[in-house]
Order: sequence, then C-alpha cells, then structure tokens
Amino acid sequence: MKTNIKLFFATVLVAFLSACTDDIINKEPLDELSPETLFQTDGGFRTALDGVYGVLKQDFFGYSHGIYSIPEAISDDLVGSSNSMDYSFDGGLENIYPLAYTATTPNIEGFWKVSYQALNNVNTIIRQARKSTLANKNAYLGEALGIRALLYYNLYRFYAPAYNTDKTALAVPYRFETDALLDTKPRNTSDEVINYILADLNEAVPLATNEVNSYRISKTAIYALLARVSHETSDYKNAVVYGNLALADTRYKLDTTLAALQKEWDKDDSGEIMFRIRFENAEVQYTAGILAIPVMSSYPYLVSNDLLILYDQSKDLRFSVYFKSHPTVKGSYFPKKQAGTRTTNAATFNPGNIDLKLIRVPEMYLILAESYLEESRSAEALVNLNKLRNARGLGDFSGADLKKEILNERRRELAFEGFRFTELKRLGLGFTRAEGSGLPPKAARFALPIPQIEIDRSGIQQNPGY
Amino acid sequence: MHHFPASICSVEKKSSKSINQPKHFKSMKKNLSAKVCEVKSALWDNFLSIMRKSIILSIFLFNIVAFASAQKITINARNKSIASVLKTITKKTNIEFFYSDDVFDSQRMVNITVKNVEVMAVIKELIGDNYKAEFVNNKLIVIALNQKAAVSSANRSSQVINQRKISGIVTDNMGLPIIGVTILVNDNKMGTVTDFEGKYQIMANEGDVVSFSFLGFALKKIKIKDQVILNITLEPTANELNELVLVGYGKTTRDKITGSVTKLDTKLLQNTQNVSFADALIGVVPGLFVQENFSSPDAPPTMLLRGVGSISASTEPLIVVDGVQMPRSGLDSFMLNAADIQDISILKDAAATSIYGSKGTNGVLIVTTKRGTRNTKLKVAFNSRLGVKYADQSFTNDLMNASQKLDFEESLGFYKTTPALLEKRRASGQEVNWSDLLLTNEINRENDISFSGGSDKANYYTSLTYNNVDNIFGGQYKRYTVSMRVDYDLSKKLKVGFSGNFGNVNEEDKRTVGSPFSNAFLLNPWLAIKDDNGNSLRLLDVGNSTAVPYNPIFVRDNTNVNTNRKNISGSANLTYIPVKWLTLNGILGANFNTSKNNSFENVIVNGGALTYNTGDNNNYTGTLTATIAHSFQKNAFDLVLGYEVNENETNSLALTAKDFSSDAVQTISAAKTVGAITERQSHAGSLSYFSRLNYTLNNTYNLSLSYRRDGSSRFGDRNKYANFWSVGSSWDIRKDLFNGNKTVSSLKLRASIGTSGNDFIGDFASQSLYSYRSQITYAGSTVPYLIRGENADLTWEKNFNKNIGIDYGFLNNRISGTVDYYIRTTKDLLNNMPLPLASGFSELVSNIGDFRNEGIEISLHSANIQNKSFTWTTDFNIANNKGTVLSLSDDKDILSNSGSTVFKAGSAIRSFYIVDWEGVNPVTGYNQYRGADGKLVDFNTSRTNSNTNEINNLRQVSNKTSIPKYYGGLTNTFKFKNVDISFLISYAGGHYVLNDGVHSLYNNPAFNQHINVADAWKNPGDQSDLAIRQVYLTRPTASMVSDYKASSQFLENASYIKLKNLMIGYTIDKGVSQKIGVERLRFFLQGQNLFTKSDVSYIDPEYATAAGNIALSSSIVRGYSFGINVNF
Repeated sequence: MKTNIKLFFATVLVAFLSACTDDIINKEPLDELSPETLFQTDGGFRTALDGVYGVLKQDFFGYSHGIYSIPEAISDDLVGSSNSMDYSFDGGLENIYPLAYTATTPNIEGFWKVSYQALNNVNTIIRQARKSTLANKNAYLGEALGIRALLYYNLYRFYAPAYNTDKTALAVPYRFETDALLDTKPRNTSDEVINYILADLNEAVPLATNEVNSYRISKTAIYALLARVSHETSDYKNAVVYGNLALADTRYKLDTTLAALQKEWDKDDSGEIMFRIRFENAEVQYTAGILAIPVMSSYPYLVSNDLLILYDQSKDLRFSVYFKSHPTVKGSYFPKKQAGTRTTNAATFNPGNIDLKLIRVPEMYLILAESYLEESRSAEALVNLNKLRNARGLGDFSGADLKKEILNERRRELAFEGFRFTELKRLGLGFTRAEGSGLPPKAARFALPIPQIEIDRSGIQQNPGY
Repeated sequence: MHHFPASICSVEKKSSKSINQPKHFKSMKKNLSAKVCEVKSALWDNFLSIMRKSIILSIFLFNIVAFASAQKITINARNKSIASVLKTITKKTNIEFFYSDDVFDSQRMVNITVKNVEVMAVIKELIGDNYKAEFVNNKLIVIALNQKAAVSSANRSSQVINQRKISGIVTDNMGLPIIGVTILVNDNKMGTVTDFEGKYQIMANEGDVVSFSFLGFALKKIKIKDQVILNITLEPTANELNELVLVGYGKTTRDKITGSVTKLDTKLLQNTQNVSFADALIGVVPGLFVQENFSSPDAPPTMLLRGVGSISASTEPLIVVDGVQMPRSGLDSFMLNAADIQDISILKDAAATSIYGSKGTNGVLIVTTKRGTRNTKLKVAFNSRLGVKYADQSFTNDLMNASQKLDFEESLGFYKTTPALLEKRRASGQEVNWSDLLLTNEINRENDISFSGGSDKANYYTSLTYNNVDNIFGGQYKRYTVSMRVDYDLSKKLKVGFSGNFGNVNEEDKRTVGSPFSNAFLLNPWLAIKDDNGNSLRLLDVGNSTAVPYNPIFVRDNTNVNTNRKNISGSANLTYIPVKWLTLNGILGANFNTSKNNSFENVIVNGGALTYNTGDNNNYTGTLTATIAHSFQKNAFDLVLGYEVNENETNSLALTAKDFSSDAVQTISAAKTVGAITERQSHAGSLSYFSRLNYTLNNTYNLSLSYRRDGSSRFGDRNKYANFWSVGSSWDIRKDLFNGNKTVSSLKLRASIGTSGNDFIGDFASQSLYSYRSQITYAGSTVPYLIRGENADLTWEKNFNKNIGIDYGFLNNRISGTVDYYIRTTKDLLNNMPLPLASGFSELVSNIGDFRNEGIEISLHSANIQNKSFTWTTDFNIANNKGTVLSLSDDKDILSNSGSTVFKAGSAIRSFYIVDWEGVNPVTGYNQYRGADGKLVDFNTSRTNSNTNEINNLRQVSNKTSIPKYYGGLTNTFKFKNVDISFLISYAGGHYVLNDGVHSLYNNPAFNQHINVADAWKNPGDQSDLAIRQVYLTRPTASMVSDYKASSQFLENASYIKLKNLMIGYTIDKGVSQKIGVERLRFFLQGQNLFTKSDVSYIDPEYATAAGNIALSSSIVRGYSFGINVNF
C-alpha cells in the first residue's frame, strides 16, 4: 500500500513538473491573430483589405458620418433647422454648422483618428504584400495603394487649404508602410502629399485589377481617383486621360430614368457607383441619418434656396430624388438624398444605412467636361456635360457660359456628397448663408483644425486661425 | 491489512509502537478505546451515510457497494497470526476489518480449520469471547473489546480499573466559559471539546493526566486522583503571539511572523446583510479601504490596500481560497458563503506577499473554509435572516415639480413655436413621482445550514445556503450554494482533503433603460406615462439621454432580463509526511464559472427581440510544496519549496435575435432572424517556482527570506520571467528586555523589504494583433483589423515594499494592537500611453512611470471591561496613506475621468485637474474662473463664440485627490449576560469627488432639474450662485454648458463617517434551549448604513469611483434585518 502511495505521489509530481512549460507561458491568442499568420493566405489579404473598408464604417465621430456631415455643414447648400426638436446625430448642427469648430470638436478629431487607423491597417497590408510570395499579391498591393491614396486625398481635402491656394501649405503627416509605430512625423506640404498620392496611384495602376466589384477599389476606381486628384490640382490634361480610362469600364454607366435614379439613392442599386463603402441590410448603424433622420422626425438641415434655384424643378429627375418637403417648416425642403430606406426600420427608430458612394460615374463626366474646357476643347466639354444632363432629364445645354454651367451642374449633381466644400476651396470662393454667416474666400477655416490631441501628442503644427 | 483508508479504531502497528508510552497505561487504554469505539462506529456510520448521499464525494472518495453479508468460507490455517487469517478472509470475501492493535492482539498465533462456515462464526472463533465483532456495513467488520467479558476478565485477574466520568467547566481568568477547549487524556487522540458553556465530560482513570488546551491560553495538565468534578481556569498566555495565522503557502504562529499580516475575526462576517461576505471587511482591516458596491446583491466591494498601486491594471487584492488562487475577478466568485469561512488573513507587506510574486502587488486575502472538527459528534448550525432595505428618497424634495419644470422650460423658450404643446402639458395635470415608480423596498432572506463532525482520522463539513433578494429595483435574486469538504488520514503519513462547492444564482433584473436612480432624478414630472386605456406608453415625450425616449416603466414590464450564474469549484489536497521534518503537499484546484444572460423584449413591443450572452471563466491551479521544519538547540527553521502552475481560460458568446411568434419560447431557435454573433476566447498561463526560509533563534529573533520566479504568457517575449524576493525579520523585544514585566505583555518589532508584481493586464497586451472582436463586418463577413500596437518590452508592474511594524500588548494583553509604517514604490506602472493618432492607435499599453505610497496603519484592541456578566471591547483602526506620482515617462501628464483628474509627476496620485470657480459675475451672469495669473475669467457660454477652450486651459493640478488620506473603523462590542451588542463606525476622509449628478441637475434642461435652477442669474445685477442658463437658440433642449463641470463648483468633500453596522443579539439560556434539544439559540437584530454624515449631495459617498467621479447612481440605502442562529 505504501509503495502504491509513493508511486502515486511520484506520478503526480512528475506529471506536474513535466507539464510542458512552453504550453503554459507561450500561449497563442485564440480570437486574434498576428499579421504574419493572417497574410499567409489569399483569404487573409482579402479579409484584411475588407477590414480597412470596415474600419471606415465607424459612424459617430468616425468616418462614415464625417465624410459627408463635416464638409456639408461648412457650405451654403444647407441651412440649419431652427426647430427645437431637430437635432443631428453627430452634433454637427451645433458645433460645425455655426462655423465655431475648434481643435477639440469631436467630429473633426474622429475623422482624423479613423483615417489614420485605416491607414495603419493599409500600411500593414502593403508591407506584407510587398514581401508576400502569393501569386495574387499584386492585386492586393494595388488595391491597398489605392485605398491609401483615397484616405490621404480626403485628409488633404479636410485639413489643408486647397492645393490651388497654397501648395506649400502644411497638409498632413504622411506615413509609409515602413514607419515604425512610435515614429512621429511633421506635417508634409500639400504638394508632397499630392505627389505621394499620385505615386501610390501610379504604382497601383498596373497592379490592380477589375476583378473586384464596386465594394472595393478596382483598377477603374484608381483611374477615377487619378482623374479626381488631377482635376483637383488643375492638371486637366491628365484629368482628361484618366477620366476617360475610368469611363472605359463598361460595368459603370449613367442612370437615365427617374426610377433608376431613385433606386440608386434609395436602395443603393445603380451602375453609377464605381466605389462605395458597403453596408449590409442587417447592420444597425445610422449612416442614412447623416443629414436627415426621418424615422426620428428630426430634420436638422433644410436645403438652401441657393441650391434649390439651380434646378429645373419640373424636368430635373434629381429634384424629387434629392429633396423632399420639410414636414414642419412650410415651403422648405430637407435633403432626402442620403436618407435611403434600404435598411431603415422605422418601428425601431433605426434610420438605417446607406452605402457611402465615394466615386460615381457622373463625377467623371463633370471632370471631363471641365478639364476639356480648361484644355480648350469646349466641344468635347459640351458633349460630356450634355451626356449627364440628358441622363437627368434635361436637354442639351445651350447657354453661353459653359464653365459656369459645368460648375452649376457639379453642384446640382453632387449635392450633399461633400463636394461643395471642396469646390469652394478649389475655386478660391467663399460663401454667405441667407442668415448672414459664412466664410470669406480662401478663409483659413476652410482648412479644418488639426485635432488638439494630435498636436499635444506629436507636436505637429496647428493650422492658422485656431 | 485492509485497504480502507481511515480506520477509526485501528492504529497502525508500527506507529503505535513508535509512540513511547509507559507500559501500565496499556490495559486502561484498551478499555477506554473499546468504549469509544462503539460510539465512533455509530458516528462513522452516520458519516458514511452522509458521504454516500453526496455524489461529489462518493466519486472522490468511496466506492461502497452493498454485498450480502452471509457469505460462507473455507479456511485452513496453521500457526498463522490472526492478522494474516483476516487478510485471507478479506481476499476471499471482500470483507474488511477494523480494529486497533492497542485493543486487539492481531499477532496472536492461531490454528483454524473450517469448511463452508459463515464469516461471522469464523471471526468469533478467531477472536474469542473477550472481543466482539460486528458488521458496520456489508463489507466492513469492526472488532472491538467485548466490555462485559473484558470487565469480568479484568475482575478475575484483580486488575481494578477506576475508570470514571469526569465533568466540569472550563473558564478563562475572568470566569467566562471557553468554548472549544480540547481535552485529552494522556495525550491520547481520544478526547473531547468543551461546549458552548465551556462544559465537558470525559472518561479517565486514576493516575491519568488530562490536558486542557486552547489557542491563546496556556496548556493545563491535571493528574486524576479522585476528582469527579474538575473545573478548570485557563490563563491566557502571556502574549497572543502564538496564535496561528495563515500566510502564503502555510500557517505560522504570530510570534514567528516577520511580515504585516492581519487576521480577521470571522465573527465579523455575520455583520453584513449583503450577500457578498467581503462587505464585512469594511472598516475592520487597517490599511484596507473597502467600499460597498450596491449594484447587485452579490457584487463584491471595491478594495484598495495601501493606496493606488496601479493606474490601469487591477488594484484589487489577490484572493486565495483553501490554497487555490481565484481568477482575476476573484471576489466575483459568488459561491463563497460567509458562514462557510473559517479564517481570513490579509497579507500586506513584502515579507508576506512576495511569495505570491506577480500577483501579490495589491495584497493577498487568504481565506480558508470551515472543515469538520476531529473527534466531534455531528454538529448542526442553522442561521436564518430576514431583512429589508430601502433607498433614501429625500432627493425628490430638491427636484422641480411639474408646474415648476414647465415654467422653467417656458422661460428657456422651449415652447416659442409650440405654445399649444405647453398648454397641453400644463392642462394634463401630470405629477409623476418617478422615484416612487422606479424604487421599492428590498426584502432579503438568507438561510444556511451546515453539518460537520469528525472522528480521529476524518472530518467532514457540508453546508447549504439559500439567499433570496427582492431588490429595490423590483428585481429578484436567488442564490443557493452547496459545499462539501472532507479530510481524511489515509495513514499517519498521508492525508487527503477534498472540497467541492456548487453555487447557482438566478437573477431577474428590472433595470432596463438607464439606472432607476438617474431616471428618478432626471425624468420630467409632467410626462404622460399611460395612454387613455391606462396602459403604459412605450415612449415618453422626453426620455433620459437615449436617442429613443423609452418609458422605463413600459420597458421594465415588457422586458425579461434573466441572468444565471453557476460556479463549480473544488480542490484536492494531498499531504505526505515521509519523515517528521518533511511535509509534501499537493493541491489541485479548479474553478468553473459560467454565466448566461438573456434579455427578451416581448413580442407586443416590436415582434420580440432577444439579446443573449453566455460565457465561462475557468481557472486551474496546481501547487506542490515541500516544507522542511527542523529545530536544534535554540534554532528552528522551516523551509518551503514550491512549484505552481496556473491557467485561466475565458470564453464568451453574444448574439441577438428578433421576430418571435410568442413570448413563451425565448430561445434563439424560435427567432425568425438571428443578428450579429460575437464570440471571444482567451487564455493565459503562468508557472512559478518559489521558496521561503524562516529561521528562529531562541524564539526571539526571526528571519525570513523568500524568492519566487514567475513566468507568464501575458508578457512580451523579452520579459517572460520575473523574480521576486523579500527579506523580513522580527525581534521579540519583550523576551529580551521586558521578560517578567507585568505591564508589557507582548512587544515585537518587525521589518521587511522586498518586491511583488502585478500581471493583471490583457492576456496578449504586448502583441499587435488582428482581431474580430468588435464585429466589424464588410460585404457580409466579419473582418479583422489591428486592435493595438506592439510593445515587446511590456513588463510587469513591480512593487518595492518596505515595512516596519510593532505588535504590542499591555496589561495582560487587555490592550493590544499593531502599528505599521510602510513605503510602497510601484515601478513600471502599466497604462495606456497616449499615442499620436497618426500612428493608427490612440494608445499603447506601456510601462509608463512610478508611484509611491507611504502610510501608517494603527490598530488597537482594548478589553475595556471584562467580568463575568459584562464585557466591553473596543477595536479601532486607522490608516493614513499618501500616494505620490514619482515620475511618468516623457513627463507627460495622464488625464483620466474625462480630464478632471490627473497623474502628474510630483503630485498626489489622482489629483483633481480642475479650474477654480469664483462664483457668478453679477454683470454678465457667467461663471467666473480664476486663471493662473489670479485674474477672473468669464465663462462665455454663448454657442457661437464660447471660450470653452480658454477655460479648459485654466485647469490646474489641485492638491485635492480622489483617494482618501485616512480611513478605518471603530467597533465596540458589549456583552451583558445574554445580550450582545456591537456596532461598527466606518470612516474615510481627505478625499473629494466631482459630482456629475449635480452638474446634470443644473445643466440638462430637457430633463428634470434642481429646484434652484429657477433662481439662476437672469438680469444684470442679480446675485446668484448659479450662472445664466444659456441654451442654444436653435435647439434649446440640448444640454447646456452653463457650468463648466471640471471646476471646484462641483467638487465635493467625499469624507464620510457611517454607522455601518449595528447588531443586537440575545442568546437564550442554555438550560432553556436544551429543553428543545438546542445547544445554542440566538436571536439578533441588525442594521446597516443607519447613519451617514457626508458632504456629498444625494449619492452615497461609497459610490465614488477611484477616479473621483460620482453620478446619479444610488442614494444611501439603509437596511434592517432580523435573524436567528441555532446550533445543535
């Protein structure tokens, strides 16, 4: 018996001591994984790239609200509601619309933060793709470079004055895939940032494919971005080249009927969308309530008269798609364009989601029209403008001031998509709202403040005027 | 012999021989043990039957199957010992035998030849008339002395045995009976203990030596001559230092301890009416700051030992129950029932805690649970309690009523465009008292019963507890726990112990939309809550801070929130003592916690919606220790060597489902639509080697050294292992300098230095990883993203402790206590270091700085009056702590609590970071704040050109902190005849809170407001303490920023003093209670939180967070209970 006990004790002892120590203190995570593990497969790259788009879906004080709500609140297309019951989800009506935004305004901080969060994820993919041995690595690298370019373009657009105004002005710190986590960098100039963006896009062109749908950055989307950046920086020659290359993709074309246009904005279903951030039906988020929240009877913004009078209310297909009568302020309209109902559930006060349609076909026609004109090819300019006008139920343009009409058409077509803010900057304009508030041309406040938290932590310079 | 492990009567031959006893005791002993044997076997049966009923233990221990006893056997033995014949019988029949070699001469040689004879007949033949044999059960025969035969044979041989019953009462030097004194005859294992009145009975012979021993009293031995009544008075030992105290991986006497260890009087555990036993620790342990947590009946209190030693990792002490470390959320293990606790020790300094290495930084709470007592009959203890609690609702007096609120709203311009709405609301005449609707009285019930007992080789304890709480939010809480413990000597050298617990909690919560307290404060009194048919409205006109203004009453009545938690835990403990000086011990412990929560919204609301969460948290600990103890001449040492493995795993699953056809089935399968599913898994492991050497010279000088090496999966590759050490020493000054002194009864000086650590951070915090955790989806699939940055250098938080202390006792220890002074330096503090956002992360878990806490702890115990009918004792403790931030990496201040408290190098830990409020500018109506240059700055709250940023920049590090400077408690206990009274006053002071609740009551005009808000500044020249209520003209219902929150305006002194507990008990005279077969019967009345003095408005100051915030979470909750203790 005693021998047995001794044996038993010895066994327990040995079992204890021989318990593989490596197993105990070298544990691998169970619901997380390292980049090296994830990027061993094609599936890993695909899902990590989708992860970047997923990060951009963050709404409150994140990206998917800010990309529209911040620029639109600094424009003359919208008028803040005076009804005490109306409110905006992101507080933009209170802190941005009055043009009182500061370095601590959470929406502006959030947009910066999420942009760089996405960039860090993209840079990780780029780093891994560059050393990957997978056959399809180029496609992933191309897509990742395209996303990086898009993210930096929007950062430039928000936080720097227009390239045309001052290209040596400070834009944003540009981080490469080779930067270490704790490296801090000063702000690059607009010129540098634009050049990096173009370099990314140019590198991406031969790598990217069109095998991805509009939920991802395809080769076509990269051409479109090249067209947009060229146009933004007055490189009209290249804007023409890339605009045409983007439109060469037969998957994407203009909608020509009211039904199709309604479907695009209400149900996110259209061939006009070249790139979008996709939201699924089952998701509960609030992107459809960015500028109007019909399910909660809150209409924070009215459409400004300046914008309304640009439309031919009887013919323009866009009028009934973009605007709807304001239920409490008689004779006014609210921006219905972004308040799609695809995923709305009024019973649970869920305003639902809309896809963020970040690159659309009509923009390409408008870029082409303007760029041809700037390149003194007005006939081609007119052709491109009329293609869009005809699709929207309007006849050919017959007026004298083609340039003005192209810009008006931009404002009409791209309303509430954040373009008006960029346009005012690009063209060196200011705006004055009906009640008197506004910004003078080239106002410093057109460049949003660098978040105070970033300045405190990395020592970078604030924009003038804050 | 037989393989049955714990024989009651048999003592192994070898060991009995090794006891060197005078020969003449032998015959007497035979006699006595025979008699005891009869009793014991009955007890043993009793024990076994309980055992058999217990599934857990029968799996652990026994495998008894009943067989028919009338077996017949054939034996042919020549010149064999009886023992070997019995062995043969066991082989053939599976029947085993119990006997004592002292009683029964099993080595006697016999010849026997039987053929097909019944077993019992064979046995009788073998043992002869002097012994009797009987079946204890079908497989076990006990052989014992046949008394009649023995006596007669003794008479025949003229051996006169003067055995007689001796009885008496044992009292202390004050004449008070002592309960539980161990009484042994000739140091035999057979003995008894005194009962609740100090009485005992024992059998002894003339010449026997009877010993009386009790902890804290000098051993007394009496030689029996002709006494029948033997009343004994025990003298307290000159010092209380030889009391046994739990320490890490062992027990030691108080006189040998070199570290700072507080042993808790577990009687205190009865003093709380709460389910969580740890609430009884409030105000009784010097240096341990404990605050009640009201959120759930079994929510453990927050505990902070010797100041804040961490910013972001846990500051809670490690909990060790029966040698098994509890998971990180140690006290959440809700199964531990106060009545089952035997001992609690709180380890504080390095000498005590460094043996717990990377887990000991915040101190260690060692708990042992009750086990049965050896050599006692079945004891039954039953406790029952019925209590009521209610929340202070006087705050409603300070809130606006409906017409005041509507006037206020009108004055702000809410109804400028909708005057009809105002008229409608006025006309409705609504006057809702939300606090009446949302809060009710709590009724709590607790019943527990325990059974315990033991023989000389085994003991058992089993208990059952039931708690039922109908809480103040209308929710229901039900808990039961079952525990079983048994210890068992397999042999003289080998002992096993098993413990098993099962706990089950069912909780139905009624807190749905926001906290009922914050709703009671903030919901408007004019709100319509019912429709014309008298049904609750689903939506209110204005809700409390959520986007959708749900009516909490409607949601409460149409939502079922059910939580079930289960805990199964157990441990097996094996002790092997191969030689006297060596003890080998192995403990295997496991702790399984599962929880399930489902929240179901009825179909009537919106087609039914289910939120389902389930998870488990499991912990495994294996510990092996070898303890070597040896003494020679004046030297004594003991050495502990140990090895420990700990693994922890957590799993959780959460999902939502909607669209149900009926409320009756609330399962996921019954839903038409299943929503997002989130699953999380993680695990961690550590392994450790540890050692401790204690050395004592002349029982006067002690030295202890400890060392531990820990490896943990939680840390970066570069820091997998860390080492911890301590050196402690103590000097019994009394022995050297005051020996024989009547005034000084004990005096001991202690000093220690050493290290401990804190590994309570995320399991994989050092690695940059892709995670699916927050359920970001894209294009229909869940997608991963990087959740944090990499920090391979991440390492443990290290504590360097220095402690010097005195244990004192004067006047026969009528006055005693301890004084400790400590310096606790925490290095490599773990915290999220803010990163530039451009890095892609907001923060990185890093080691960012050093803290120092220093303080003095004093405890005093005084037996003020001590006589037979009246005693009065006072226990007082106070601790003072001063925490300082020594340094922070890059000299960067760390803001917390939304920027209102700060960690700044050179300042106190958690200093407030606020602006000085200087009242209201009577000209502008704005609040004025004092700038750094001393000038007053108006807080311009107009929405378009607010100077919030400017005011933000005026924040300064204040010398006020959220951590108390001093805290402690005062307990007085009185005993007068049958009545006992005790009360506990707990207090803490020198700290502050920022009252978020008051800010809300002034600045949220859409919700109900403080009555004073109507008197805010309106016109130039107004003298008011409240600035102009500035609303945003286009959205007047938005919350205001009239008052800047992080200002001294909302800073309140959080010092408090509470009559935390009052207990009045009455014990029925034993003579009376015994008539109904009860050993002890006590009734008690108890009160809790009866009186509180504090400057904190509305909210119980114990609710303040460590960061110094207090919200509208709960007013003071008072409680009363009535109960009964019964012992059989």
